[in-house]
Amino acid sequence: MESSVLLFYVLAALILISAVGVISAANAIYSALCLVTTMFGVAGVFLNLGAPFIGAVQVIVYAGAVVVLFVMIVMLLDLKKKERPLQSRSVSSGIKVAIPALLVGIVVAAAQMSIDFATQEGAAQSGGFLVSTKELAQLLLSKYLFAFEAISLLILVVIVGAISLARSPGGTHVGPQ
Amino acid sequence: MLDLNEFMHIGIHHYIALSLILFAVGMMGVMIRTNVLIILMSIELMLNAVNLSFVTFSHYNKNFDGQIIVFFVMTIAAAEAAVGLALVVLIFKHVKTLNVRFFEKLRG
Amino acid sequence: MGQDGFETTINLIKLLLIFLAMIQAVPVLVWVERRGSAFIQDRFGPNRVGPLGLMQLLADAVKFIFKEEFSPNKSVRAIYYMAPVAALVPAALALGALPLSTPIHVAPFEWLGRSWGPYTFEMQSFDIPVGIVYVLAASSLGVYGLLLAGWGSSNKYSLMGALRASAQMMSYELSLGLSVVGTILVFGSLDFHTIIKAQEGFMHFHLFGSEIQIFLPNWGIFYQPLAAIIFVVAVFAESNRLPFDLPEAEGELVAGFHTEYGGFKLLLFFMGEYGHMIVASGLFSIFYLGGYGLPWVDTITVTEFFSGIFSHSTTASIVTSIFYLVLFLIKIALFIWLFMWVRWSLPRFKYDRLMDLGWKTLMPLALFNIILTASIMFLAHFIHWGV
Repeated sequence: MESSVLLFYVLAALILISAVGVISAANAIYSALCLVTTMFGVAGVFLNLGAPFIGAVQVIVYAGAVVVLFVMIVMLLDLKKKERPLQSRSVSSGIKVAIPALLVGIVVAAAQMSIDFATQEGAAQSGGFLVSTKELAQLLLSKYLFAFEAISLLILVVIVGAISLARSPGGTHVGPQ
Repeated sequence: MLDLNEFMHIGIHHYIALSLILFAVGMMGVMIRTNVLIILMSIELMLNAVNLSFVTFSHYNKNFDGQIIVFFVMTIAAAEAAVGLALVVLIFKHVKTLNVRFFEKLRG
Repeated sequence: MGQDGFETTINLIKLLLIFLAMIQAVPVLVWVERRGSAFIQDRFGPNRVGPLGLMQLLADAVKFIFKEEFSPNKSVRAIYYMAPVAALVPAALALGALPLSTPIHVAPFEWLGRSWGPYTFEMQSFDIPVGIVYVLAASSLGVYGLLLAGWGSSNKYSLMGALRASAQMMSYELSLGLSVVGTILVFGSLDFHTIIKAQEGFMHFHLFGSEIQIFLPNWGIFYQPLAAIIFVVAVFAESNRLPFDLPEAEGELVAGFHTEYGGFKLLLFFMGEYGHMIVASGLFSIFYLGGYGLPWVDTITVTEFFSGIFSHSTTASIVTSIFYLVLFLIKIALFIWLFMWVRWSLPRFKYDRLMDLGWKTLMPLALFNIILTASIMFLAHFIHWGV
């Protein structure tokens, strides 16, 4: 058992246990904390797959900003009461659990049975493929320039939208400015 | 059918299976939970599963475009989380509850 | 980690030593803070316990360890106990990626009948190619300690302090990252070693074909003065130090998010805060003050100087590393003194002015700095002006 195999299984266990924790935790804060560990696990898998920059950006954006936003909203809305998530009527929740399980089984089997286009060459040189940030940036600003600019505009729209939605009447500053 | 050798050597199937199971867990979260914040968190799980599969394909095809797409997906997910949470705060001020069952019917 | 047992063991010991160094620096910094603040405020600091009050830190440590471990009745226990750990871990993680000195090259030697090959030990816990982004990621995780502390205490004032602190930290993280982008543009790499190596020697550039050499050292602070100022202000806000310490404002919010903490858990919070200060000082030294290097002298010259004195190459390498480590520590100490000096000189910001400063002043300035740097570099490249 090589170390990279063990590492993959440890990270996969971390991701899946935390993901199940997200959807089945009693308190919303525990869900958010399990989401953080899921993000860490996914960042670890990115590092394993030779994408260190994307892994670090995953930690900065997701674990360091998006989930913090979730946690702050939970604290703002002061949700302390616990709810029991998996106790509703048996038939409908049974269907809701069965459908994703069926999906996973079907697609995994399909992937197994399909032609191995990747593992024939991929198995020979796995590892040692580390994308440098410079190459990513060159690709981002040449081939995907339009998408880059479009997403900047999208972020601007989202900022203006979120502020106008969450604005309190009268502004946030006290006294004359 | 299930030999141990498959589990010893990590190939593309393992990462795809991981991404699929994560996606399914996220989907289950959206369908089962009634707290709107947890539904939003499950959506983030699904987006992470998709990111994982993009980076996997990028690694096994030696092509960086997958990582650029992951970049964009992350940005859009963060933007969508921001707007979604702003809406959640507004709804909470109105309805005083976060149970989806109360405002899933478009009325009032 | 290493090919064989010797290298792995030494690397593990080094990891532990760097972590412990950060922990052990905290009592020393607390002593410096108390004596330094006393000096600024024209009074004596602790001077009873031991010479110059140095044993005061030992007494404080013993007091912290032996205090009663309690948790408030209404608190959420798991989160209450997890929060101080979540405040300490990001600072320790960030410190691991900073290079503290030149690597130690060990020549092959004989021991226990075996020949151990040539090794190179980096003077950092781990060497990451995307070092800067990793350190930013680790610092951005510092928000969780505050948020969890505020929530776990189940106390209105703690919660308010925690929400304020996290909003403040996230706002200034933006300006921090943007100011660092200007430095990355100038030095052209995300790796710390490349940045330190690029700051050696005299400041020189080509000006319309002729090469000019100025008497200044080739430091980042002369290439990016605006980014250095923005970095300093943002880093003050990141570690919740005065003048940005409204979240832990004594007298307003009792003690903010660490109201309900006492004893060892409070010590962990302080370790996290001082750890953040050490990491911030280290980052400032690396980006703007030339890292561990001597101002006008390259690393090669000093290495050869020490190789000339000591015949055995391993000893020469170790002495060079120690020399540069001392230099780095001097720069960090200077910057930490700046932290403490500002703390006891400036009044505290009001919260809305604090957020205004972060969003309406620092962020546009940082963006302007990026545009200016990029324009100058583009012009320089385009008309062969050359920097």
